[in-house]
Amino acid sequence: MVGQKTVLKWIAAACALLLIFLLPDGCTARVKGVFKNLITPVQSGMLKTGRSLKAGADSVRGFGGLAEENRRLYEEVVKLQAESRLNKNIEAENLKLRQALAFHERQTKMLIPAEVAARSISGWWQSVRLAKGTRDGVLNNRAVISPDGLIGRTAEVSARTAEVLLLSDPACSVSARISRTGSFGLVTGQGVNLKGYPIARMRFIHKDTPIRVGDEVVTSGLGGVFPRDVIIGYIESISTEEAGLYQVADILPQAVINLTDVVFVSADDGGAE
Amino acid sequence: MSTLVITLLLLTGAAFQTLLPAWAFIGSLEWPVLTGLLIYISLRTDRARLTYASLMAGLIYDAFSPAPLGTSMPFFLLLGAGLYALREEVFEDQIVTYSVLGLLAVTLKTLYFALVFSLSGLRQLQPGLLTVRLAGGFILGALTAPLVYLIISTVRHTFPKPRRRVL
Repeated sequence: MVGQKTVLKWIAAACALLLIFLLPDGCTARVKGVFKNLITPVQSGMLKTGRSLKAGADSVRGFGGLAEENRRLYEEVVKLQAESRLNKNIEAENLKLRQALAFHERQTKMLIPAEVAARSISGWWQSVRLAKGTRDGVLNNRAVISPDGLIGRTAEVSARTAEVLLLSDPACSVSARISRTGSFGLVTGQGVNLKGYPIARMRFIHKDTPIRVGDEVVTSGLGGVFPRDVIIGYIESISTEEAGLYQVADILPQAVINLTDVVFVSADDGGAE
Repeated sequence: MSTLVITLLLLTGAAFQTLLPAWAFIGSLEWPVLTGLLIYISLRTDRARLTYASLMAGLIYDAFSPAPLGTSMPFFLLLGAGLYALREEVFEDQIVTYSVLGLLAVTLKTLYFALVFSLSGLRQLQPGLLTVRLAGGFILGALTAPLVYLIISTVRHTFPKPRRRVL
């Protein structure tokens, strides 16, 4: 027979659970933030130790002190490439639209470099955690990019960490445009395939638009989260939706596949255009 | 095992879990270090601490994923209760025990998340991927829980708890 105390304990546990479920979003984010802020420095430390060990091994193999210098320069190159790509897009748009004001705003677009501290704890989500948060100017729902293109958007930001929902996550949707044809569509993540490659799918492409495998897909700038003309990836295969109303294209999200240790968070929102 | 040790173990386990590489051919499931730790704790502590450990494991698990807070807590609580009920029936110092409990726990966990995420509309239920993940959970559970047991046992034997001097 189950004792009265046991029943009371189970009721207490159920009440605690219910309380957690009913917590307002702000509280939930704060609770998650406490754990993330606690662990992320440890994880960053572990990653740095791993990298130092690798650099040490490289030194032993004859590279000397160049390994550390090489890493620093690599990070610098990655940052410059990202800024260069963004600036190129800005210049192109300026030439096209001749809008001095828009040009000025885009020139001041800031990128915050952030180190990837960890991946999501469960394989159900496609996310990474950055070792920077609101303290460093990273805000919620901001685009995260690398020199290869769009990586995703920040989803949960605490003081010292930011969770990035990758482009390949089913919860991440981006308004996109095919560079060659100019046709619009919506890119949504599809998780990873069994080879480990992240995949995304572009839907709602007009059925008469002549799209090709290999076409470049970029952000459209609509929606207000992602800046315009950031590369999403390249079309891998094309099909027509069951009802035949629009085309569907499977995309290889280049930046997610080549995910680097250092990524860049847009300090501004994309701005609906 | 004190509450502090349990907390530190779970936090360290969570840190490791996010850093270990996932294998794509088994559905990109991550190494179930937290589940392995809970199995270890459940066979060595009293009911109150086990309940605390289960709640903590659920909280940490959700804190490190974009899932809503509290999603995994019912699973970890039920797992803790189930393991507590089984503890008299199993050998707590046998690798096989951890292997069997690990594969059962991780397979159930995979099923639980598939069900919860699909019912709440967070993820679509794909039978093919679920089958791969169940098989993956089977393998990872059978490997991770004994590894966790071996590592903690080695550490505990290397650094034994100092005995209090009785005057």
